[in-house]
Amino acid sequence: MAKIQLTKYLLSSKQIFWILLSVTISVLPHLPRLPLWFPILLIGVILSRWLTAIKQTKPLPKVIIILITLTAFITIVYFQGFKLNREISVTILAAMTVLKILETNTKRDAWMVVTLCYFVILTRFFYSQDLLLVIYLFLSVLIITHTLFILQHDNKKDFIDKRELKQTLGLLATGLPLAVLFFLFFPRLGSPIWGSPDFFGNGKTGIGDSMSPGSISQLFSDDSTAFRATFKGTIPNNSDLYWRGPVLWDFDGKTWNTDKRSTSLQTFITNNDTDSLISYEVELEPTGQKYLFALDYVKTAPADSTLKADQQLITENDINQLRHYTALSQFKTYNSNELLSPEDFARLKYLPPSFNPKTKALIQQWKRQVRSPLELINKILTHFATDEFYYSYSPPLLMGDTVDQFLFETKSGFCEHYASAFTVMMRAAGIPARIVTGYQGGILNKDYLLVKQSDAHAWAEVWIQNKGWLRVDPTSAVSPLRVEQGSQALIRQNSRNWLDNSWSRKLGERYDTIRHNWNKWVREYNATKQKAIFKVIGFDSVNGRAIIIVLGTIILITTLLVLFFLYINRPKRKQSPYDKIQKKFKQLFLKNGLTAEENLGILEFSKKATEYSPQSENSIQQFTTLYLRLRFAETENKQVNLDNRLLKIIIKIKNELRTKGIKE
Amino acid sequence: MKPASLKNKIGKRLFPNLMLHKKAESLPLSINWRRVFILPTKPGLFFGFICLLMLIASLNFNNNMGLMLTFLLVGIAQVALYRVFFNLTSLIIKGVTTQPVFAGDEAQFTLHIKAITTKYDICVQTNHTHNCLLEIPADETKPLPFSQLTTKRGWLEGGKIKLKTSYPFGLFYAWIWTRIDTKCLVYPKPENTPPPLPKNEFNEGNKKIVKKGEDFHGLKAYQPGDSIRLIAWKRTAQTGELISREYQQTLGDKLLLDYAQVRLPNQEDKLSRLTAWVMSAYQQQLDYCLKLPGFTSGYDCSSQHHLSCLKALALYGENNG
Repeated sequence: MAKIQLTKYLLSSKQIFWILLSVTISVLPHLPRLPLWFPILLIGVILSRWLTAIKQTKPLPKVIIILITLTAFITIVYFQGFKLNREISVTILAAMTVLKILETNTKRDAWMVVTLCYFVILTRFFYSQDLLLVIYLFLSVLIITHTLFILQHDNKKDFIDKRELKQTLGLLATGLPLAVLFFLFFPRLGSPIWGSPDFFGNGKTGIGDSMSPGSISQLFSDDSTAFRATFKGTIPNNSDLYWRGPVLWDFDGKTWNTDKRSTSLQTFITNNDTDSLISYEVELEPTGQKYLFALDYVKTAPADSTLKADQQLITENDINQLRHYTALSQFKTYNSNELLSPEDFARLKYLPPSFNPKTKALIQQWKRQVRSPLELINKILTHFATDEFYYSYSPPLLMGDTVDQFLFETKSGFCEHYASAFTVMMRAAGIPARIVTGYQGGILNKDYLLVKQSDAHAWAEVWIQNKGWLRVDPTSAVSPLRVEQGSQALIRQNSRNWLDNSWSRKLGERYDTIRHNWNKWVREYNATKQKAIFKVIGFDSVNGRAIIIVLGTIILITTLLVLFFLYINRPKRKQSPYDKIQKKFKQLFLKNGLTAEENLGILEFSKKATEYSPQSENSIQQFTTLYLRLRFAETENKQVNLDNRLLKIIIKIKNELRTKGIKE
Repeated sequence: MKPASLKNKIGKRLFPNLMLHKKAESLPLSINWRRVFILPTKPGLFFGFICLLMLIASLNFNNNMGLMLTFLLVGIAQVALYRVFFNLTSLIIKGVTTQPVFAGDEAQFTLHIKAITTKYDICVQTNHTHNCLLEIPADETKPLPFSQLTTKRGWLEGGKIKLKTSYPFGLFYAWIWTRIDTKCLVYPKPENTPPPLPKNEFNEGNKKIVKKGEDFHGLKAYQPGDSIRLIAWKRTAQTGELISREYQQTLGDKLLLDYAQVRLPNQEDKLSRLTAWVMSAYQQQLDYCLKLPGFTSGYDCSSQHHLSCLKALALYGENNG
């Protein structure tokens, strides 16, 4: 091939500017997840490369670049270990892209870095596919693609040139139809070829497998979505919406923990059940944990999950992607499906000795006054309802004998405190009891029920001999509103913080509706939904033939579309002021009755015009001379007087032509 | 039939428009879409590779945002493919200008390219040049130079050139081949260290250059044709013969550069030496005459004369000269 001078392939500072911008925008959303030294590396590399670009100094010596790279890799391996997992892969990819800037001296390197940036952006979507990221997607693609444009077409002028950006934006927009159609019709895989989609997690959120003081109160201020539920029939009353999550068995005086055994529960749906069964679909936001939430009491386990003996729904892998499942539930006062062994009863009655002596004493006293466990429960609930107990989001912090302090001193708290105190009291009376955590209620948002993290709740379950588990929600005794109308009713009454008002909450709910639709149509678009779309356009199955026909058609259609767009957006010639004034001059005579072709040269046209109206010979001559001088002599100050002088002559000719008409 | 000509024949049959570069075309030449080639560039191939990786990763994890990004890139590539094509078609090569050069130097040709709609990044490529125009505004004509190496004197055709563009993203490049038959005149390569200009060694070159000038030089016998005003009457009266004054502007020899007199075995070497002499004679503003078999220039020192001598040297022995 050609021997080409290397200097042509060196980068201008404008190109460097865009390359740096591309790398920054692609790495930026990863920063919170990347090691702490990463931002320092990024800023350092960018500054150093920028300085060499504007000062036209030599790039850093190869040895130093290699040293920096080695140090970065050793640091990554030292702190994150040497495994091929996602965190390390992404860190290495990001570090590689950033460090490549240092030795980006030719266009070749530049093209490589910029193309790599697209891949870095892709890795961001493996962490989350939230609606807001769409904006990021388009913005970053615009910037990176514009960098490709600048690498190709560099006028070395303004770094940010509106005209150039417009060109890139236009081409990007022209590429959209193919993107949309391919998105809809490009065949999807039913299941991954390798790895698991749950490989990509985002840390644990929401309700966890233990409850210690304060763990739920954190969630109260979090209005983000926990899950959405769409009911087949009518939506049950708010007071029936107990979304069952982790069941807590063991209490060590401070923290409640789940039962770690993995006994599963076999349930059967009998004919009697069918009437009272409630069916609904849940869209669970990623939690990073294994719990599914379903209404009390859960009848069957959705696909890919198990219903544990204590009615807890557990998945095999951590839920790191949006998860959809259909659940079946049944409202019952008592749930007797669970088989409990003597050891289980012992665990369910266990209290750490020497903790909360006052509570134990009180219960011993009350136990003598009642005849049945149910009466005891009622007595405790009445106590909560009458004896100066308050519902509060920010109760005083409890230490040591927490239940004693709560019952006899502070007397204010929320579900966590009441459920905990109640369960401890039950156990003190020798009645098996445990805590269930989950969500309570939800807001009806358009056609689905929106359950936020702030709907997190904890309640108690008591084992009644010969009947089964009975759900007792002590919080409802203190604050009936919480259970009847949901946590939002309480929040409306007393704001959690200064930002908390109905307007911002409404906005949040509106946004969730959009997100719900986004999840439904884009994020969760899959092989099944694609099949339905293929069916709509007349293909009963998504086979090779159908795919080839459809994709071929798409390419054909988009080709036509692109050609059409390119045609209407073709770079047109701007009509120069000279052309305009020349046209005006010619029109003057043509309208007056001169027969001549409009695209005649100005000189020939003037000749004809003079023959046509000899009395304006002088003016025509004047116009032609001035026009030619202005247009073709480079020296004159062109723009300033152009219109004025030529226009004046035109007006003069106009008058002359008019007087000619009068004379005749 | 030779394989090469067979190949040409098949090529002509199948791709009549693609084989156009085989023979030179008349100008102005409008670039027809049927002769445009398009292929991905190296960055384009890398872009495609990254897209493929992204597609596989997104499909595997059914990551719809990833697929959206990937397909957006595919869409961009599709647009770039058509855009690059339209950036080359409908260009018009209005003409080619050129300047004579000496053999061994680069022959400079200048394409004058007109754009109907605005075009960007139009490049011309030959074996050893690669020049680009950043922008050709609509309805304007811009010069785009390219050069060819010269090895021998005579006429040099512009030859096979590639007109190409990678606008807008450098992912694809479109190009056409064409042959420019505009010829550049190539003078013989002047001898590097030529011997000094020949002086009195030739008979005919022995004559003194006599020219009317301001400086009085001497007296001589009147010759018919001398101006009456030049007659030195005093002297004439003394001698009884007509004596006229002689004025000279330059003193020097009338220089004859004769091909036959150059003592070198090789024709090209002779021409090289003569070229070097013509050059130096012109620089010194001497009156010289170049004599080649079948060509005699006459004595002069004008630049026109100079160029015609060089041209004669360049085309010596060529039929079309």
